[in-house]
Amino acid sequence: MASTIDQHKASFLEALQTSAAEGSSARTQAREALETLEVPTRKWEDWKYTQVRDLLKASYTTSGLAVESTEGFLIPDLEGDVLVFVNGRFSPALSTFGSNGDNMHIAPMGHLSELLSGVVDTHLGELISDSNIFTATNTAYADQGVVIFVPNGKIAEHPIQIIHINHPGAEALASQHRNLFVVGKHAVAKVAETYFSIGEGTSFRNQVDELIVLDNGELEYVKIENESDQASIMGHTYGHLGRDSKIRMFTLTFSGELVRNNLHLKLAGENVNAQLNGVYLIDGSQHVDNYTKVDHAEPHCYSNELYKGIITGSATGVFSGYIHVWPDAQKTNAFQSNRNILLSDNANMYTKPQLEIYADDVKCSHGATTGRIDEGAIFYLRARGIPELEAQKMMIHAFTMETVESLSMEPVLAYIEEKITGRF
Amino acid sequence: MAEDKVLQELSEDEKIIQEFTEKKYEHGWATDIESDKAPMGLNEDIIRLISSKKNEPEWMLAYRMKAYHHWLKMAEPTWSHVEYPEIDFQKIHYYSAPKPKKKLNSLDEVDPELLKTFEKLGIPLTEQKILSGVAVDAVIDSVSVKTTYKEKLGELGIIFCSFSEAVKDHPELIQKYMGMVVPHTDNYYAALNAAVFTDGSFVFIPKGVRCPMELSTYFRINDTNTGQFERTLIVAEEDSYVSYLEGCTAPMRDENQLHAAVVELVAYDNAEIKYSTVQNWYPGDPETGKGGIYNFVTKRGLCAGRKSKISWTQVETGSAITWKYPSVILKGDYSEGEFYSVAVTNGRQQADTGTKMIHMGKHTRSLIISKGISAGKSQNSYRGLVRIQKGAEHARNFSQCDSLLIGDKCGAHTFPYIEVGNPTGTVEHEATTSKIGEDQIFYCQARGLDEEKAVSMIVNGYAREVLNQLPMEFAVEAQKLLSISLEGSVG
Repeated sequence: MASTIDQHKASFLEALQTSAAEGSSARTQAREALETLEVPTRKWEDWKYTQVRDLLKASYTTSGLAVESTEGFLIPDLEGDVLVFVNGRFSPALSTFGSNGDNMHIAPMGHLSELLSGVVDTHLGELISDSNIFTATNTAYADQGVVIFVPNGKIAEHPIQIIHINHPGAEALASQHRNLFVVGKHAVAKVAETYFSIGEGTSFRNQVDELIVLDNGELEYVKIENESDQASIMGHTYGHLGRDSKIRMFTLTFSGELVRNNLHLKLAGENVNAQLNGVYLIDGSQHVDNYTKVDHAEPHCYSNELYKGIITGSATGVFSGYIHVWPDAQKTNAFQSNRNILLSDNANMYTKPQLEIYADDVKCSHGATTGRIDEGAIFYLRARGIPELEAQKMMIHAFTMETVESLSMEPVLAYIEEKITGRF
Repeated sequence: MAEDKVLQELSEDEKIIQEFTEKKYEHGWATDIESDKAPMGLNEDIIRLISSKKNEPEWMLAYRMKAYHHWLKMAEPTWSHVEYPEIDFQKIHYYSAPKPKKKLNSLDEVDPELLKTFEKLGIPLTEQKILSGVAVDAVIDSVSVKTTYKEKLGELGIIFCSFSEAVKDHPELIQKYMGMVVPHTDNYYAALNAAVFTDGSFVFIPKGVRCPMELSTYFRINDTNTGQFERTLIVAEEDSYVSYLEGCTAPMRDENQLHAAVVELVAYDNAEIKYSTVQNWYPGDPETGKGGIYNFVTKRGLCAGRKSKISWTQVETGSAITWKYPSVILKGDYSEGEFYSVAVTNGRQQADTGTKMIHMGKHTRSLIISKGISAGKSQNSYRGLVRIQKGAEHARNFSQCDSLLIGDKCGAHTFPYIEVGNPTGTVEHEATTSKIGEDQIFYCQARGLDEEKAVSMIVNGYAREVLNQLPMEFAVEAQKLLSISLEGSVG
């Protein structure tokens, strides 16, 4: 048994062992760690509801079919930088960037300035506290990605759009992506990352994001996962938040054969404000697992999580929310809520909130509900001449849009609203 | 000036916390009863010895052996949020009985030492018949000593006896029901229990009978180095009702004592079982945590019939480690499961407790109310599972688990698992963690109550929802326990 898993691990690594970018000590360490790291199984508490073994079984290639334009993939009216990655590789022809001028240093990996190379050398791999086979493979071999550095006091007004388009051929496509965002003191940055696929081919993406927000910095980071039903995403996002900083995260998942979004934030200074929201609207045999961990390491921090899901077909939704309040993190306010609607008989939802609290002067709560659409409300709408399906759409819209309200990028908000409305 | 006051208040708080933390175990003493002990360790011979000491039939021994061999293949579970030194299962006496008993006809024949013990515990066994109307099956260490009211219950066809008697007198019932809800393969400690259990209680309520009194057993662990392995089995046939009380205190000890009990409940159509526990075993040394009881218990009920109901109520104040999840399998349509819990931890105590509600039948309902209170350097966790299976149409669950923190060295944790596989089900879960509000204390103080009383009032109010579920006889004791445990523990 163990040996087959090892074989899978080997073939998975083989596919992703690209030419490998600039060798830093983090990359070397990750390569060494890979020797011993094991593939997570359902016996691991954090992977209880998600089986990743099948992901590693396929044999992968790293090249796919060409993509000619970004038409239909751009968020309408969102002005700013656009960085496009086709089949995991940066596409200079489809990308434009630099709209923020001196307020932001930005470049895809492989095209880094001296300054950004320095940022990579200093920070890459710094936040990965719980290395697993996916993060280690990424650290060791990912040569594609975006590096952003906003210097102290600079406000990058124009949002950054990172667009991933996969166009797999007959063979399964594998890609890796690495983001490293450093937001300086009193600096502001906004990023929207979207994922698409063309055709019905199978793909697997292994992505790691590292977000460093220094004192008084602000980051807004939106992810919209909208690939095909044959696409799998293994995403790990790590954040480190300094004193008085602010972060707004939003993760929207529409599809994917297997999607795992790991989000691990460390509130490392006092008075951090973190808002983590997510929505998943899934169908068919999709499996979406949102795993969040919020580490309250310092006093006076505020975190609020709101994840909502609509699950139909024989899809499976998983939400694990872990809040850890450290012994000295007094006056912590940590809230978490996970609400789900099941629309079909075969839909499944697994929720696992988890609070570990080692300080006494805190206010922490979590709530979880799973049920179906309120029949009384549907009846009310139908009694007023609204067809059932329309009524259901209205209910879903009202249910999910609550999570989006905190976003400041208006075009993104409108785009999400449109996508959600069109989903079911 | 203001600062001085704050400082003064602080030290006052500290003093109170210290007082509270240093509070000695009230029920700590040891009884001198000569005991009949098996040699240390566990092997086939020991199991044969236990079986022969109890004059058990061959099938019982075979069952124990089967469980033992299964246990050998199992690994000790480590997933709980508790820490303790490794248990050496070969350093435990698996059998210890008070002096060989002769058949007793009246209380006068009971060993006077034992009666004294009961008096200290506050169970006036001699007055029981007249005063409380509670039938008591008292267990000291591993052998049932005295069962009262048996005849009266017998008239109604109710069987209430020790497990070993049941094995002798009602083998068909034991063979039918034992291991039905908690099979010997269930988990590490359940397998161990099935191999070495020494005694326990058996209750059988026949069809249509409403048990006229609260059935009660006091467990006491009473001999150094004896693991206590109880087994309780309660079967309620159609349209019957029973309320069962279980309460425990134990003498002060130096070495850890392992308690791995198994409790099985089976309820048929329209039957209801109410199971209440007050647990106040020795929690160990407040500073080092040394010497306390390890309470690793498997408790599970099966709502086998339509409209059956099982309700667990527990007040957990003792034990160094409490690790148990009284669960209900809701198999019958319209069946109902309830779980009410107050868990208080102090000193170095650790509790990892909660429940599992497995919804299988249609229109099944479950309710979970859990209140955790942690003080001192203790860790208190709620761990629960609510599972709505595919076929469980219109199942309903509501869970609420609240934690209260007193002092800044303790921890409160929640690990709820919610698995929903049917869209017609509704599952709601809420959890909060907080400390006692300063404004609440201030409000009480402004009305002339001292801080200590205010805290006691607030905590009792906080736990009221659960305490209200206890039968009268128990509620008084539980309230007393709570206020003893929380005296002066101002956060």
